Amino acid sequence: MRKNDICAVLSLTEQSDSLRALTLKRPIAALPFASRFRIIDFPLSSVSEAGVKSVALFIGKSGRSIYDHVRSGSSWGFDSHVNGGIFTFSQQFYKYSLGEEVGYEDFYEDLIEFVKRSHVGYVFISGSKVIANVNLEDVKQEHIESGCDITQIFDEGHRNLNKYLLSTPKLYEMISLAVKEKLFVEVDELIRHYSAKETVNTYIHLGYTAIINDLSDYFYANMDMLDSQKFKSLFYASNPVVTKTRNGAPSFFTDDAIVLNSLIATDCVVRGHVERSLLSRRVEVEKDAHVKNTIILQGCHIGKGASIEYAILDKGVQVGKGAVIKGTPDNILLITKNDIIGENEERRV
Amino acid sequence: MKKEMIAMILAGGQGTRLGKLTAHIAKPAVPFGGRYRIIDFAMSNCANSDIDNVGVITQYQPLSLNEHIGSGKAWGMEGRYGGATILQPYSSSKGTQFFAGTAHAIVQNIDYIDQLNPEYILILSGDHIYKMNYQKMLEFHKANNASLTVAVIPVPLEEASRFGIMNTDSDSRIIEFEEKPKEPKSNLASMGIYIFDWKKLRQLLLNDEQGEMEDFGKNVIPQYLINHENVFAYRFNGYWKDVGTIESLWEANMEFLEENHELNIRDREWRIFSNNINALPHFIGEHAKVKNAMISDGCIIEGNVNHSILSNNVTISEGATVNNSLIMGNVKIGKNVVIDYAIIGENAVISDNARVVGTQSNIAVIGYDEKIGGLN
Repeated sequence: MRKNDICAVLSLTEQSDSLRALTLKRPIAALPFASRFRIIDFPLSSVSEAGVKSVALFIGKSGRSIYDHVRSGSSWGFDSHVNGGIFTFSQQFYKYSLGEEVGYEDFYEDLIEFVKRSHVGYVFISGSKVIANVNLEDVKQEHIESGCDITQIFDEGHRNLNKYLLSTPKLYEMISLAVKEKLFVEVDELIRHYSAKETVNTYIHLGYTAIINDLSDYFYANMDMLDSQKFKSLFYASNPVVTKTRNGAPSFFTDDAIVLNSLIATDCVVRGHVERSLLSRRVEVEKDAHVKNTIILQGCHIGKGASIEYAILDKGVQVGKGAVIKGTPDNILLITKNDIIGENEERRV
Repeated sequence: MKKEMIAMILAGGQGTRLGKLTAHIAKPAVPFGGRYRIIDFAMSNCANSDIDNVGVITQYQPLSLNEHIGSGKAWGMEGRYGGATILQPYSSSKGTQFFAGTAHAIVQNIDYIDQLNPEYILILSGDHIYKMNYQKMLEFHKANNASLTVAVIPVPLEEASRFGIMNTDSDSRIIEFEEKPKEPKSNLASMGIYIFDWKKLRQLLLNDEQGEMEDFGKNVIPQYLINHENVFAYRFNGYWKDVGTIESLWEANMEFLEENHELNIRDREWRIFSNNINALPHFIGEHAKVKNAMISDGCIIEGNVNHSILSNNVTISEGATVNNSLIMGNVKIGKNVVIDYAIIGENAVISDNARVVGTQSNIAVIGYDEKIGGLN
């Protein structure tokens, strides 16, 4: 098998009620992670490292946040191939709403066309709510050695990571069968459905793995990154994880800053206390503010003396002086995008 | 498309007074302020002044500089009509010539400039820290119907003898130029930033059969004055720093660290761009103390950092203390190390318990890739 003999199909259509407030305008794949990444960076980095040239993204809605992040795919080198690149298929939910047959047949058609034009022998299929640094080269080796039709990827805890490698003829075969049997489902589900009839090899992915099904999963996967063992396992053990690079000044800490066990991106200014927290780009924490066990996304401003615990602040939240935001370990408080919390205002779960 | 103004950045200087820090790289490529290189300021000023054709003239140890500039993509210059172009000495039918002076470097690259055929040419040096809008200088140049405009900055009179000093009349017209005068008549120092009418300069340089026009300061400006050309001084009043020595490089970095510093690095209207590297957010451990510091991506901090700048991917182990220092990229600092008043070069390794301690007037310098302490 040639190095570039795989194309990748990423299905970004997963949904979650508990994550609804965070994923109203973005798929789970576009959720920020570990202060500067997005979940989609993990599958994109995996396939890029394995020499994959063509990647298809199937997106539920308009996909603005995904386009903004991925663009030409240059961060992962997908723009430098003579053939290949990033191919996007958006508004899948709208298509499905036209009725299963019309919508999904269109989807199957797009899928077959994409794979055919990639001129590859194998297809890697993946959902996008798993955070794991999978070595696809390894998977490929094992798949070939196993001689099986399909390789499915599990983690050490025997959880199905919803990632599959199979030959292109096998995928075509499954799709034509599905059309004949009027089985209209997402591609990962399609593979699970028909895999009972095939020989299946299970590849065990070693290393840190998180599956983001709900708000608590999202919160604790981020918090896991404050544990240096887990952090190293995810970012240093296998491939480098690549994201869109941005221009920003180094983060600045004043004389009054107290920062413990935290992960901080560029362009932040910290004048207050930050403990066991994750700060994305351009976050400002004013003097005497206390931020503890909290995820703060890009562009938030935390006013003087504010106190925040067990919370997730979506992008652009402005917290007034002396405001109190308090969740609990079992009930993480989410503040939605661009929300304004007034002076001395209290928000509790 | 005809260009109104293109920029030529003179980035060939060795910067010998920076010692170890320029032993293998050109001065404009020396790291600055955590995630920048000195040349980023001139490059970003061009980008912010809507100049999208920039020739970067390199000569001394150009590898890391060339790699850094690339096609100019980081400064948004990679478009249909723009781009940064690395210009290096080359051999031709006239033989191989290294650049003998600033003007000579322009003559040697006349083909590049002719190809773009600009009306004006902006000459910059790649080793100063400042933010400046070159379009405003061009407006001044046009308003005065000048054939040469020199940017000047007021310096303390007692230091004026270190600079090229411009003596002007009340209309800012330059009437006399003195290179490093013993008894300066004014305190307006040349910043090494020139706007020329390209046609006129081209003619002067090509008519110079004896090869006397080697340097702008020494030869070209005096010749313009002899020829009674319109030569004007454009006064700049912002922050400007020539980081020519270890002490001035350290000082400029410490100034950069001040919260309300004039350069205002977080100003999104005049951003300083640099090549972005892919690195993790920085990780601050449970026992770390970070105060009055600038920290870049990829750092792992378990020790104490006070009044210092950390560049990308610096590791500071438990019990280590870093004060009053600039730590360049990929440096590893071991346990219980003490660093004070120092500049630590890229990729250096400071082993457990080592001490690198300078003073404010004598900054300790560890070169790139150096290893200090531990078993050799």
